Amino acid sequence: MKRRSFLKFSATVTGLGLAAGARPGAAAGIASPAAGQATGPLLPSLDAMRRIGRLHLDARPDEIDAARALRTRIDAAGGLDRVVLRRVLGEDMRRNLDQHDVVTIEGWVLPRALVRVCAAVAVA
Amino acid sequence: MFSDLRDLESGSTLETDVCIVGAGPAGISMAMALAGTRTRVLLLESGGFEFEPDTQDLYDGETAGLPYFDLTAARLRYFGGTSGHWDNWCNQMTGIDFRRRDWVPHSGWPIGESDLEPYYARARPICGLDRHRPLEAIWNSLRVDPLPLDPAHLDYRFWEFAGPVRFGEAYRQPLKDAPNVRVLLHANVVNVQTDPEGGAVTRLDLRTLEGKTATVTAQSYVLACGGIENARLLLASNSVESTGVGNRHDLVGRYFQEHILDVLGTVVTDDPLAMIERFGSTWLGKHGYTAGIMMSEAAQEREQVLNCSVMMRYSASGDAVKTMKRLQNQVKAGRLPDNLAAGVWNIVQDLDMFAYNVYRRKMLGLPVLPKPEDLQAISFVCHNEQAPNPDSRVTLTGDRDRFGMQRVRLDWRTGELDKRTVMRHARALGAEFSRTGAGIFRIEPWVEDESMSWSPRMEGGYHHMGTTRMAADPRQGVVDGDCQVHGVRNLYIAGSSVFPTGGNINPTLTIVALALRLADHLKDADAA
Repeated sequence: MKRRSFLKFSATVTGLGLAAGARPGAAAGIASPAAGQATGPLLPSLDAMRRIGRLHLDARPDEIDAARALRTRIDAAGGLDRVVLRRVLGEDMRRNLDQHDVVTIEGWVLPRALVRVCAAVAVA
Repeated sequence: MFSDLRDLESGSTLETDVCIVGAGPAGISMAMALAGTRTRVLLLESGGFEFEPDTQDLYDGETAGLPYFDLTAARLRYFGGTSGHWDNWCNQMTGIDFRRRDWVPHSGWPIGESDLEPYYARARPICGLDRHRPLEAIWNSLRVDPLPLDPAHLDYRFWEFAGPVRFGEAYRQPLKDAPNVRVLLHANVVNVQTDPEGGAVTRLDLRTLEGKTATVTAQSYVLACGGIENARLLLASNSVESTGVGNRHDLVGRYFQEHILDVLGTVVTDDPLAMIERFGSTWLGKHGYTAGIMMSEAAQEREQVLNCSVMMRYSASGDAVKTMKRLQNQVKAGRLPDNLAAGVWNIVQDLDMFAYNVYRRKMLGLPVLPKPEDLQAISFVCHNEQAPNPDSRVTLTGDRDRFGMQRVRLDWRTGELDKRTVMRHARALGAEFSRTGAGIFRIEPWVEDESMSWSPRMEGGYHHMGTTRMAADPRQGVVDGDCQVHGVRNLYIAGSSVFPTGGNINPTLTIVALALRLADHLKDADAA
């Protein structure tokens, strides 16, 4: 994954939005973590999620069945809708990070729940 | 007083109470601690006051195993020793560094943190450091809110530094003035001679490069030649016991350790200035601090890993920061700056950042920051403890130096625990950066590689430890808790070669603390 697309991705996954900061450079997108966290975890684009999911399943083909099962649940809950995905992920991501339950994809350290949902998005 | 073996009559015999071999931080600290007492001290130094290529060449040797620095570049052989190229980054080891850890083979010191605490307090000013300050006080002084790391996983520790203390310059005059201390320059110890049973040292044999000889007899002998040379001297002194002095259990030279330094990964953040403020180096007066992130003791135990710390590095391309630093230096030096017009133009172009940096420097006394858009990368570099490994070792080769002493081969090796520590620490760092909203961390590919390979950039810190390790049991270590060589009643070792494990921090402050403790031990023994 290109660094530039991950920059956007990082801003959404970590909940760091664009906000005014006290220092010069705020206009360039400096935000305080507290302000960013208040927006809650958002999601990368579906294309980015598919890419992450494919990379994960390439490395862990044994998780394809679990990904398919999760995809079935997501479809039953309303499909690949961002609101639904956010509901599926929400607390799980926060809990993963609290417990350091992370997965690395191409070196990027990501909460496991996010990677699982990405894998679900990636399976057709 | 200072004298030079080249000026003495060849074949002289010198007699003293305590003979210290090596005038680096350990040897000089010991001599300073004994200055002004009734104990006669002879401090032997291979070199003179300045770097001399022929003397430095005596350090030449081979390296095998992991790539390592040229051995003639990894240390300095003249008065002041390796402090001559020391950056003076220090801190104290903490409780876990001394304890036996079930998950770290061969760990555990025979002494604890409390044994060294009073000596750390005395060592700090010798190394140019202020008194020890708690973390919270340092953060307050830096005017920075630390990232709220979860102590179940990660903790902070600070590296401290001051203007480098060159021991050879800082303590030359006091040693010259000390009536009971004699420093003998160009005195190369080529043999440690013991009695026929190997139970006591009877003399040291000295030579100059010009061929003069001398012998030293003393009540006590202290080897303070550094983590590689201490082992070499013991191994090469094999006229009585073929395996060398103090080596009945084949431990001398083994367990060589370094601190493993490499880039763990980079962080992507939309608040790079906060990252740099928190983790950049900051001077407060004459005392500098850099925040490091280490795995907490609870996490080390839970994850069964070593002690590891990381520090931040960043690269920036901003012309304004460079220009301002150059202008400041020129004005400070009393010169009208070169290219003043161009310099001012660079600053005017970056006026907002310039104004903020002036505020930081002049009002808060904090370092300047780069423009966020000029940042190229914010990386984190690990500074890892290495697991004691008997196969990581210093041995002698068939090559000989100008005195006929066998040269060394350094075979530096790491193990599975070292690599696993790096990986676990990187993941914990990434998880905490995400959890706290600081950014997303990308781990370098070599870290995730489950083979034993390291990155091509991996290097040590010029920290040579473990080759004459300390242990209560002679089968586990070369010296005991008082730094006395097991089985050799009047031979002691000072320096990081006695460290059983190396912690995650630079060794010099602990080297000096141990040297002061050994000096007290010899004083007590003399009084008894």
